[in-house]
Amino acid sequence: MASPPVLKPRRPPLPWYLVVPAVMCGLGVAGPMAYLVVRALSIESDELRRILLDPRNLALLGNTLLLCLGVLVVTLILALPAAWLTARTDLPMRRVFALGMVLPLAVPGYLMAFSLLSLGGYVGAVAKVTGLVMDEPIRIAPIRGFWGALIALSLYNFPYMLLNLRAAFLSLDPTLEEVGRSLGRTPARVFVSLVLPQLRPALVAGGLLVGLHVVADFGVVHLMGYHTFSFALYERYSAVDVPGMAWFGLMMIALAGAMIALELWLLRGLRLHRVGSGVARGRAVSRLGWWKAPAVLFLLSILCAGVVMPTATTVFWLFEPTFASAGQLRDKLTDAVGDSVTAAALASTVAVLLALPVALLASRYPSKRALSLERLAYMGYATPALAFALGLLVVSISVDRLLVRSGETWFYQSLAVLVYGYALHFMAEAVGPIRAALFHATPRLEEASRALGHGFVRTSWSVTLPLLRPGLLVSLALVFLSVMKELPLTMLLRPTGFTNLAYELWDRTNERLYADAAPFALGILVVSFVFVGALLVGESALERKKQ
Amino acid sequence: MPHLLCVEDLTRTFPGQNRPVIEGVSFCVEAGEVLAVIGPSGCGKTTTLRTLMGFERAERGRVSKGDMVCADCATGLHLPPEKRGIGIVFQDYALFPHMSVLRNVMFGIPSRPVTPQGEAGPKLSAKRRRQIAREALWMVGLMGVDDRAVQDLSGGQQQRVAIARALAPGTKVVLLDEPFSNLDPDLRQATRAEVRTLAKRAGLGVVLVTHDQEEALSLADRICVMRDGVICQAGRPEAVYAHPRTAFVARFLGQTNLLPATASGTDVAQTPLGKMQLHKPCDGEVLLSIRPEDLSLAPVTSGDNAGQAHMVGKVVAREFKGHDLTYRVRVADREVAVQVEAGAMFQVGHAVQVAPIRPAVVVTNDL
Repeated sequence: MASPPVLKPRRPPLPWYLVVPAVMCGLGVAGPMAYLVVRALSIESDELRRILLDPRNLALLGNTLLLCLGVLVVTLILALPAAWLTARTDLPMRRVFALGMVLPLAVPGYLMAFSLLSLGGYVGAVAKVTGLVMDEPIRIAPIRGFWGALIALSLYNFPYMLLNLRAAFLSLDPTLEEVGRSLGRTPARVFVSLVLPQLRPALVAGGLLVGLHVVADFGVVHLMGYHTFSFALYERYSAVDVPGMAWFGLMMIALAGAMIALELWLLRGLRLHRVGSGVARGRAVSRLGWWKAPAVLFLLSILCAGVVMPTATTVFWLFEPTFASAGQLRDKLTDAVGDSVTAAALASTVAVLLALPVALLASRYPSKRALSLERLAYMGYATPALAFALGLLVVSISVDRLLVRSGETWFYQSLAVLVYGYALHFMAEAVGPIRAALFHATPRLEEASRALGHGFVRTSWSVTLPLLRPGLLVSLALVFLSVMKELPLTMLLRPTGFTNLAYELWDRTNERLYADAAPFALGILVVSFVFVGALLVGESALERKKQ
Repeated sequence: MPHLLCVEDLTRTFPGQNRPVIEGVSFCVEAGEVLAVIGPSGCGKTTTLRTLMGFERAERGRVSKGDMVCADCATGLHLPPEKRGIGIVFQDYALFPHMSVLRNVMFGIPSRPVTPQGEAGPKLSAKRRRQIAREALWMVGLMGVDDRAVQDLSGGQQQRVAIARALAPGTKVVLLDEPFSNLDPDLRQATRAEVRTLAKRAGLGVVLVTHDQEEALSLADRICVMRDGVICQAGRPEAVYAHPRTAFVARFLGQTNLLPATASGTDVAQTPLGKMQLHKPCDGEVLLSIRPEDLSLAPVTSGDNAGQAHMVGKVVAREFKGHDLTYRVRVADREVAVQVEAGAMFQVGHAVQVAPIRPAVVVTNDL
């Protein structure tokens, strides 16, 4: 009886105290969405016809899909070689590059858009800098529209694809490739016929993440003036057209749903685990030789575009004259930091508390039912933030109408609803690290403690919790960071007077007040780099401990 | 004097399954005794331990430790694991990775131990608890590793820490779940001997769960052979080995030859190998088990085949194992294994006579 849980199909009943919170998470997302459907359907038929049969819808769909496709292609072209270089070659400073390639995650899309927009044009950064040393400053055309959105979203989303592909490259069994070579195939054909098919799950998973992000993106497309569903939804929001908003929200959800369905279809019946006994051998290393220099140059240019360029433009604009006074900006900056720290602290705590039962269910009771409950946690993440925010907005207005005398509000524009939105949207980010920590805190350890005479409370306190602590901290940090940078939920749900760095940056960039936007961009960059750096350092410390 | 640990009629069915994982499991352990529960993978051994500990809830049966009842389904009593005072050493040891060796062992030592009368005793100082933990580590032969991280210990050392941790609270009953399977053969031998000495010296009752028949036979005072959740036979290792009740038990404990036979009310039966002595009289078609070492080989003396009591066969394979030799002999369309001491030299192809030297055992056919 080497490992009893595997040998026997053991199905203990799922404990209610874990199921109830998990189901609540699902309902918390599904509820507002269902209400959105109700609101969308409750309009006059001729108005429905006006919204649905608007010929612009097809153009919006086409634009959205085109942008998705474009970003997928660009991220793939960047991530596939980058993943291979950092996983399977003798690239110099391989580990440093592997960590560095994750850094663009710290630069949100709208910040990238701010940076790209502020480069070109008559008063752009390029013109200003070159004007200092040349008589005739170089003026590049402003980067905007489709190409602007494509570049900004690709640079921001590239790490998601890279992380998936790199993990897949690292887990590939090099023996299979050696067998391919021994059967007379060239390295190139081995790559196409053996390696690529094995990368498929990673490609699909990375592609889904990127696709969902592009569909849900609001900041970039709006700043770049590229018309997608989320752009149209915001237009309806500005025009206070609730049914119109609801329909565009539903279209975004339908598109996200279609992507998830496509992923499931692409991965159906896939089995790629090792066949036969034996342990997979270590990493295979390809020698780059003379290709080392171009490879390093390639990775450096990704880093330049994804990290150095936005940082440099931010710093440049810091020293340009601003429209608002320095005092005004300082006050606004203090407000934004204070507000977003409060909201992020609340939301990350709630998200971790919600994620804990979900992670426990998925790791301790691995059954189909438990896994489908875990999926519920991802619903909030997969639902485009703008549509989710809209659902919450509509629900909170209606609830207020039911409960409160007219003129007063309890839920509409309340911090509670904003935190609720953040927590449910980012909860999925909290599940992963907790699950990983639970993997080390096996139930066997809890049983050992029980056998030694300690009850449930004492066991949880002195065995389970200390083992979970690193995972909980990482979860808290991830959600905290995400909330600090969040834009669409903040925009629709923020209480009057509430502001955060993302909103202020977006607002000023929208007005083309780049110098005024720069302090807020700098704030986001500092917070992000500190967090991402801390996470990377912590993670590599954990890795070392494991070895 | 009550038994140290007694399990009666323990039965457990997992939800969603219609067959019980264990059914009617009963055994008792005395102080200073090692009891081995042995059976193939998935037979319910580990579930027995987990039910006994209280990690799983039985639907029928009773568990008692001395005069304390730990679980009794008739009255609905189910003490949680921490109230039972039974130590357990898991297969993977389950050492707390965030604590030092000494901290691990101290973990179970109560700061206010309960007296045998069930009252709270005097408070133990941290210093005293450390001392108890050190004594437990000393008992299993581990010294000078107090402050080491458990990850830095070898497999054998980790196992000793796990045993020390189980014993440190003053536990008299220890359950071992396949505890030697992660050790290399040399270490396994030594640790087995130590566990046995420890049980005798400290008067512990040890329940050992294993699928390794050699381990059970060499270590245990008593063995229970388990199959499909039911104990098929229990007794001293020698007795169970010599007189298996069923064909499964005979096969599972060592090698055996199973032969169909016809008996007629006496203690002699007709078998494919000729007439054979039985360990007890019986009647009709029966199944016999005879161990390879209970058969002997002799050269065929030329000339007289008629009236020969034993059949002539041909050696088809030989396996030299140092102190003994196992021949596989083809007799009357079946192959039998015969184990002889090295020296008797037959080659493959030789004609030989197979004769029993001890009576065969009549077993129930449950294969």
